[in-house]
Formats: sequence, C-alpha cells, structure tokens
Amino acid sequence: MNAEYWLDTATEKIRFRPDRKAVRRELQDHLEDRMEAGKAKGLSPYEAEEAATAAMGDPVALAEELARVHSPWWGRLWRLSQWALAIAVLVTVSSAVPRLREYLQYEMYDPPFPFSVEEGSYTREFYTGYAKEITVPEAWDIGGSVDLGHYRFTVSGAWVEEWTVSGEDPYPVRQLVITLRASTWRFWEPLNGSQFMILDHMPSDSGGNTYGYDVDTAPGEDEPLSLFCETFQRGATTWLRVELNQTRDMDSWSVPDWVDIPVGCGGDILRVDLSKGVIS
Amino acid sequence: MAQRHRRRFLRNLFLVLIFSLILWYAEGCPLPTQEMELHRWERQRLAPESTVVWSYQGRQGNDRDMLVGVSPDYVHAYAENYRLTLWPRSGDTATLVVLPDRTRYQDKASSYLDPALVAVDPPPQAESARLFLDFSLRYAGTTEEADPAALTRVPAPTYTLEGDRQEGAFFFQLQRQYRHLGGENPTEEEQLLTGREDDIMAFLELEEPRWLSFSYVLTFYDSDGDLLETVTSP
Repeated sequence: MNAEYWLDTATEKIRFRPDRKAVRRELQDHLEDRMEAGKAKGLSPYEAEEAATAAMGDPVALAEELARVHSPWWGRLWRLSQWALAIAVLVTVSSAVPRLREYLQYEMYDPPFPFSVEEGSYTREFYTGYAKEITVPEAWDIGGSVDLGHYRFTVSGAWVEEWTVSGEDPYPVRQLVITLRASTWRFWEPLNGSQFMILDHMPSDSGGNTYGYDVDTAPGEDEPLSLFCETFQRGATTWLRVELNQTRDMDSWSVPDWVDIPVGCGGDILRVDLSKGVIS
Repeated sequence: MAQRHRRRFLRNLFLVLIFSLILWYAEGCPLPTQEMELHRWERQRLAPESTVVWSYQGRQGNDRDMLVGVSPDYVHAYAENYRLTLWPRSGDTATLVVLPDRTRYQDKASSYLDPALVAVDPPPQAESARLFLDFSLRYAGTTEEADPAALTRVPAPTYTLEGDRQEGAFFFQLQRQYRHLGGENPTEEEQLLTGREDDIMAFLELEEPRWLSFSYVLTFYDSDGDLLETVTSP
C-alpha cells in the first residue's frame, strides 16, 4: 500500500488537526524507519514500502483506535484558552496597566500626616510648602483592636500637639490627635476614606466635653469643642486622623481619660482609653 | 496528548483568571449589580444593610441608576458610583427623601433632568399621594427665621406634586414651573423666582437630612380619595 495513502487513512478520523498532524508525523517516522530497514535488507523501494505498510497493520482499524484515544475536546479547549489568554493579555496591557501605573504612583506618595509620633517635637510639612513646628508633650501607646463589620480598627498613635499660630498676633494652640487605622482583607472594599465618617458625629470624652465640626468660633460654656479629621488610604487600609479641641485657651482644657469617637453611619462608637492604653 | 492539552488548558485558564483579576482591580472592582454596589457602599460606611424598595434606571447615559432601600432606622438613597445618603426613618409614618441625583422626564417634546423625591413606607391602602414643597426657608434671612409670619412674604418657589406609585413607594418628579415666566418683560419678582428655581434645580440633589432647606406637607389618599395620612417636615 502506498505510504502516503496509509498515513492519510490511519489518521483521517483524528478530528483535532494539530493532533492529526503530530500523530501522522510520528507514524511517518515509524514507516520510514521500517522502509529503511527493508531497503537495507535488499528490498526495492516499492517492496520496502509495501512491507512497511503491511507491518504497520490495517490503517482503517488503526484510524478507529486513534480516534477513540485522541478526543478533540481537550485540544479544542486548549486552543480556545490560547485565544482567551491572548485577549486577556492585550486588554490588560492596554487598559489595566496604565491605570495601575497611575495607581502605584499615587501609592508611592508619602501620607499627608504622621500615623504616630514620639514625645518631643517634629516638623509637619504640608503639600502647599508650608511647614509647622509642633511640640509633643505627651504621647500614648494604645493597644487592642475593635472589629466593625469586616474592618479591624486599631490606634496607630495618640498624642497631644502644641504649636504657635504665626501672624500679627501669634497665639498658642493645643489639641489631642488620635490616628485610627482600619484594615480589611477584602481589598476590593476598603473603609470609606471620607472625612465625614468622623465629622458627621460628635465625639465626647470623660471630662464631659463634646467635639463638633461646625464650630467656627471659640466655644462658650457647654458648647462643643472643635473637631477635625483628615484621611489617607493605601491599598485596603484607611487611616483617620482625628483632631480634638484645637483650642487657644490652653489652661481650660486637660487631656481626658478616654474619648468616644463615633465612626460611620451605623452608630458604632470607638472608645480610645488613654489612661488604660486600649481601644474598645 | 490529551493530558498535555488538558495541562496547557488549565495553565492558560489560570493565567486568564489572574489577568482578569488584575483588570477587575484596575477598573475599581466593579460588582455585577447595582444592588451589590449599594450594599458595598453601605459596608464601607459601616451602615446597616438595606432592603431595596425602589429603583430607577438611568437613560441616555448621563443620569445615574438609583436605588432606595430601607433598614430599621434609615432610608438609604443611592446613586450609582456617586452618593449614598441616609435619611432617618420615621417609625410610624412615611419618610420623604430627596434622591441623590436627578431623574429624566418628558415635558412636551423635550426631556429634562431635574431633582426628584421618593416617599417610602406609605400607608398600605394609599392609592395616590400629593406633596407640597415650600422653599421659603431656603431664602429666608435671619430676621425672617425669627419671625415665622415673615416667611410668607419671601418670594420663593412652591410646588404641588402628584405622586406616582412605583414599587411600593411614591415618586415625585420636580419640574420647572417658572421656566417661561413673564414672557419678554418679566417683573422683578418673576426674575427672582426663576433664578431661585434655577438654584433649587441645580442643588436640591445635594440636600442633606440634617439641613433641609424646604418645608413640606405629604398627604396620602385611598382609592376613594379619602385622606389616609399627613406627614409634615420636621
């Protein structure tokens, strides 16, 4: 039987073309080896070909067996997955990479405020190029954590700041700063980074003081003291810097034992206990 | 050979999943439905999860999908990827909320985008509702605030809106009524009202529950037109 005809017949039922080609090449190698062996024994090329094809067996029966062994489905799935991967790479490179590059550049920025400081002094630099010399007469290590939803809240730092507001009539200012850290494993939903997570509420303390954002003037008796909040996000972590009682009247306010800080829209309250050094 | 194809297929599938995850993250981790997005916004704000009672599908691309949901103490008003506002929920009467984005409506041959409001928890037998809005408070100065009677002298837009029952809530579309006021020579008051209406239409969607700039009277009627409930602004 003609070798080409034998090979075509033996492989014609393999439906996945790359497999058909690969099996045909392999069978062809076997056939050529047999033909060479026949020629070496003194057979003519025609006789060697006939002997080789006869020795390889019935191509029709072999075709049935090869078709059974070489199911096309895995091959087709593999081909499909090659296309899917090519499209995924193309879309990711053209769309996601520029966004991620921009995102990573943002991630490289230094946070706009320190998460914790030690007693002493430090210089805080602002994006506008303005810098402020700040004295830290007291700082605390606050341990523990509180889980609200799937966010874990800890205290990165708590300290008192004092500085002087410059100008024609400079005056000293003192405030309590507490930096809260909220982290989660659900990287697709970090805690909302809006200042109003804190500013929409009124923290209170063990001294009976309350703190509010809408206070523009120096507080009178029984009125809320001032409240401000800055936030920073990196990945799935959000920091909230809470500033309490930015007051000029340094002698009339003392550091409380604890501060209750309402956070978010669900009525949750975090108690930062400075005297015990724990958040609850 | 089949085994080799299977290995390669699984490897490619794994790589496709990795790239898809990168793409999903780069696109801001979008979720498949607006309701899932609403619940994510709620979780990120430590708000309770709401049950959706009303929905709006944006049309023509520049008005957002919106959802209104209820939790035990709040009514949640959400505009797709834009805002979530929580309104204190009245325990035993209906609650009126201002939607956080504008909705589209037809007026003669044109379509407009203007603010809208939704009343949730209406009386079960309510077939119709009416909403009266008075914006005098928004434009009253300090002296007028001290003297309620003076509010009646403040030229400010008022609106009477018929509610449209949708999905168990009542929807009220605010429409301009001073648009063509006064013809070619409007009076000073007409100009003032038109200007104030422009202001209301531009900023009402930013309204916050704590600082309502208007007063309202919301009434519900049964199928016979009998009054069922009246709700007034706090």
